[in-house]
Amino acid sequence: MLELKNVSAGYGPLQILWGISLKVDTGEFVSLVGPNGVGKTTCLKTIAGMIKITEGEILFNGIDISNMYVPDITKQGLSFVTEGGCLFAGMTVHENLRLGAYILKDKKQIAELEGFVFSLFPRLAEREKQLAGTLSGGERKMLSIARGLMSAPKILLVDEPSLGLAPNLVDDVFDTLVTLNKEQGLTIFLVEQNVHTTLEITDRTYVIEQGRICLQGKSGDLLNNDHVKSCYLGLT
Amino acid sequence: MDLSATGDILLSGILRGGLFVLIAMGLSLVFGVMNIPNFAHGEFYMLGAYFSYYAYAVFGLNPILAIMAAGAGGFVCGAIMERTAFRSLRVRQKTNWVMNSFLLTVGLSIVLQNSAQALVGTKFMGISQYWQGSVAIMGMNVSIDRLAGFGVAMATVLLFWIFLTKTKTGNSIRAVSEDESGAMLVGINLNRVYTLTFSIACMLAGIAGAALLSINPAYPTMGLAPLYKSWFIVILVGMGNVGGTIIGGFIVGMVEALSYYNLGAGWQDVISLLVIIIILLFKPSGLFGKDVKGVWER
Repeated sequence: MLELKNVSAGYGPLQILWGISLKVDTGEFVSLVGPNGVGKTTCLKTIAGMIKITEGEILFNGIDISNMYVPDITKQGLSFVTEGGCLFAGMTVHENLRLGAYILKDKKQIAELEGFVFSLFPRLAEREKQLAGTLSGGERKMLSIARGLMSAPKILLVDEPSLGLAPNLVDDVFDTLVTLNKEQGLTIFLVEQNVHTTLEITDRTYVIEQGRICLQGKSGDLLNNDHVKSCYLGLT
Repeated sequence: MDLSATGDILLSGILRGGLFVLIAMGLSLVFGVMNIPNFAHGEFYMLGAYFSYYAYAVFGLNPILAIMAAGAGGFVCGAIMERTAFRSLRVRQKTNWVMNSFLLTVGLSIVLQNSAQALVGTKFMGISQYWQGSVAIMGMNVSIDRLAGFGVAMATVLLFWIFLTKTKTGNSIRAVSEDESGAMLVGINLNRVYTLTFSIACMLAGIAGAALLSINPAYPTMGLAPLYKSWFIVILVGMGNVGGTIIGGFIVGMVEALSYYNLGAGWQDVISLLVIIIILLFKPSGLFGKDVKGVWER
C-alpha cells in the first residue's frame, strides 16, 4: 500500500533522512522506532508531504505521491495524526471532527463516521460542544486520532501517541490502535519511542538510527534481537 | 447630561459602531487567517464608494443593488489582488512574511489611490441620499439613510457570521486561522482559502464604503480615516479576533459619540486613542486577545 524507495529528505541544507526504504502492506500494523532526533517524525512528515524529498520516491497504492501538495495526499486516503495533534483549538470537538471529514461529500457517511469515533472514544461524545483547546492532554490525543479517522483513510500515520500521556492512558491509546487494526482492518504506520510496547502490539517494525533504517523484521523477532535488547529494552 | 442627550449619544454611537464593525471585520479576518497587516484595507472601502456611486448615480440602479454591486466589485478586486500580488509574494519567500506583506499592502494602497486619481480625478463624487425622509427615534431625528446604512451593515455582519460558523467553507476559513498544518492535513487547500478570505474582506470594506456614500462622498484618499479606525478596533480587541471586532466596533463608536457630544468635533480620535492606550496598558494583547507573540513569530 505504502512504499518508500530510497527516500532522502531534510530541512533546507540539513539532511535528515538518508535513503530510507520501507513498505507497509494493506491491513498491516507497522511501526518505526528509534532514539530521539534520528528522523522518525521527519519520515512521517515527508510521507504526508509536509517536507520536500530530495531523492527517491514515495508510492501510495501505486501512485507517486512524492512532493505532492499535502491536501492532495490526504485526498488519496492517507491520514497523518501529528504528535501535537494540530487541532483547531478555538473550535468545538464536533467542528474539529467535521473538518476531519472535509474531503468527504456524503453527509450520511460523515454522520456514521462521527458515530463510530464517538463509540471508540465515548469521552469525546461527552465533550462534543467543548472547545478543543480546553480538553486535557489525553482527550486531545483522542481527538487528534478521531479527527484522523474522520476522513475514512486507507492508512493512518500516527506520530508518538504516547508522548506526554499518563501510563494508563498510553495503554488505552495503544489498545484503540490495535482494535482499529484488528477489527476494522485499518492499515496503521506508527512512530514510537516506547519500544517495548510497540514491539508487542505491531506486526512488523523498522528501527531507524541516524536517518537510516538499520534493522527490520517481525516485531516478535526484534524483541529477541541482541541490538534491540541492549539499546532499547535495557536488557543485556 | 439629561436623558434625551443620553439617548442621542447612545443612538449615534450605535449607528457609527455598526459601520465600524463592518469595516474592521475584514481587516481582522485577513490578519487572523493570512497574517497580513493590511494597510490597503481602506482602499477597498474607497473602491466600494466609487462602485456604488457609479451604480447608483450614473447607471441609476436601486440603492440595495448599488450596494450589492459595490460588494461584488470589492470581492472581485480582492480576488485579483490576492492572486497576483500576495500569492506571488507567498511563493517567493518564506521568512519575515508579516513585514513583507505589510510593505506590499502599503505599496498597493499607494497604487490604488493614484489609479483612482488618474482614472476619475480628485473631484468629490457623492450623493445627497439613497432614501428620502427621516424618522424620530427617542426624540432624535434620524435620516432613513443612516438607519438603512446601519441595517445593511448589521445584515452583512450577521450573514458573514453565519457563513463563518455554520458552513463548511466558513469553517475551513476558521480552521486555517487556527492551525495551518492541521488545515492542510484534513485536506483544505490553503491557497483557495487565502483568496476567498481576502476577497470577502474586500467585499465587506466595499459594502461599508457604499453604505456610507451619502455621508462620505467618494474621493481617492477617503480610505485613510476608516483604515485607522479599523486598526484602532482590531488592536483594541486583539489582533485577528474576528468575533471581538463586533464589540470593539461598538465601543469605539460609543466613545466617539460621547466625545463628539461633550468636546465637539475633532476630538473623537484623541479620545478613542486615549481609551485604547489605557486598555492596552492593562491588557497588552487587547480585550479578547490571545498571546499575540505566536502570530508574529510564525
